[in-house]
Amino acid sequence: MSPFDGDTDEMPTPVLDDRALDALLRGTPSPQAGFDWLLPFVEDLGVASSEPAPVVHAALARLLADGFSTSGGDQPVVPAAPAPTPSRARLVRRLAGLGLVAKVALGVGVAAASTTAAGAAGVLPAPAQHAVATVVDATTPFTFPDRASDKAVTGATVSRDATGASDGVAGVDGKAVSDEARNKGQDAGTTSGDTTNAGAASNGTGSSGSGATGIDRANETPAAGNTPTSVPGRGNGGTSGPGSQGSNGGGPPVTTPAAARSTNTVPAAASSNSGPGRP
Amino acid sequence: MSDRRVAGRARIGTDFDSVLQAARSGAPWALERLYQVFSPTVLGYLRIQGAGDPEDLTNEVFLGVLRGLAAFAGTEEAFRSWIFTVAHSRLIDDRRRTSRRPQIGGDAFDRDLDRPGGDAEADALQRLGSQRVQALCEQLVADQRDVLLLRLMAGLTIEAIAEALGKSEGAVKALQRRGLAKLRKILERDPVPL
Repeated sequence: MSPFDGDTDEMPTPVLDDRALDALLRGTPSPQAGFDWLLPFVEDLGVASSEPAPVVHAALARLLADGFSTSGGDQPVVPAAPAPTPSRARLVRRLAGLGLVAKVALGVGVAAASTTAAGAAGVLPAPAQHAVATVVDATTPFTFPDRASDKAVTGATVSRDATGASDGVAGVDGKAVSDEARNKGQDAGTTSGDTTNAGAASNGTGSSGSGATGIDRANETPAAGNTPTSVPGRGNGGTSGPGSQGSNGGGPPVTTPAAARSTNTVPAAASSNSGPGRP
Repeated sequence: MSDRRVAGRARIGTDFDSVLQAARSGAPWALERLYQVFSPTVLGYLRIQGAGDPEDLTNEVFLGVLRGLAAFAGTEEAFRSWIFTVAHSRLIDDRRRTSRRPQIGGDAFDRDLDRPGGDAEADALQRLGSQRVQALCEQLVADQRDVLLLRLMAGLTIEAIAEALGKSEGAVKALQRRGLAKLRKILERDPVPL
């Protein structure tokens, strides 16, 4: 092929080789004779290529801002919409085929079912929960939780106690309960000796017929030697008294040797969770 | 030569390998760098080729290129060839989709009038130059225009153009030769200064 291998009806044009192209793209005079006329055209192409980068649309902007993560080799992980399951696809096709009226009716039904389900779960706001419960109670054999009704009943009971209508003593105070507890405590102290030794053992200071205390019983077990020498005021029987702090749970924490031993098991349990033996 | 940017010279250079490696691992800064360097030339190519919405198409091109980076390995020249192969393919799809002849100097430039620009004179000259180039290219046969733009604007080799267009190297050389002859003839007949 000659350097001037143009068509016979055209002006002979030399072949533009890569050297000549590089020179043109650099904007320097072509080392290959016959292409200087092309230089202004190439420069204008350069101008057309010098616009700012185009405005980035949402999808590309997200990619440029967040990049992508690679996993399982070099393949980029591109989030894709989940493929519909066959049953879901069938449902979509059926819904698409419904008329407008049918779609509206279906929508109302779905909304009602959703509200009913939420009402059954008791997760609706109180006024809505009350409304749903009222409707369901009136139209079905089912009963739904209704916090509003519960509150009303609770309030009435407390109100009677507070006014003394229930027990003749106005107010719900510690003394009223204390009296009742004291009576029960005396009853327990009286009956514990007549019933079982277990009751005495559980009380620790009971007065059973055998005369054995809970500590005596405890000393007969393998835990002998670790038993306390005295019983804290925790029991509700005998002379521990009604309304004692122990029975109300408001007293100081009771520390026993057994409790001390139980704490020793905690680190072992913790270590077993992190150990290599865990499946 | 003026200080104007020359076609096909937009390049990263010696940093390309490290930028590519980072981009392949999904690093946003590297993806951004590739976009900033190569997208203007792609936009210019698509615009002169008469794409209906060159900016939108450029976005599509880079979305595909950047997502497919994991499958690419090679030099910067090879990367440039790949980008323009994708760009040309998207251009053909766009033409089929819109089923219309390339719009030269039409809506695309009118839309650009609304774009914010820092230098009004430079922008005007740029538009004028682009319109002149488009007017010239419109007189070329489509295959000749494809070859000349990929050669002179994108800076692709004959081999790369052959691969991008799905033609033999001999066919590309012939198209280039005839395209250049036609271009010269036009310029001699209508000596409007470029």
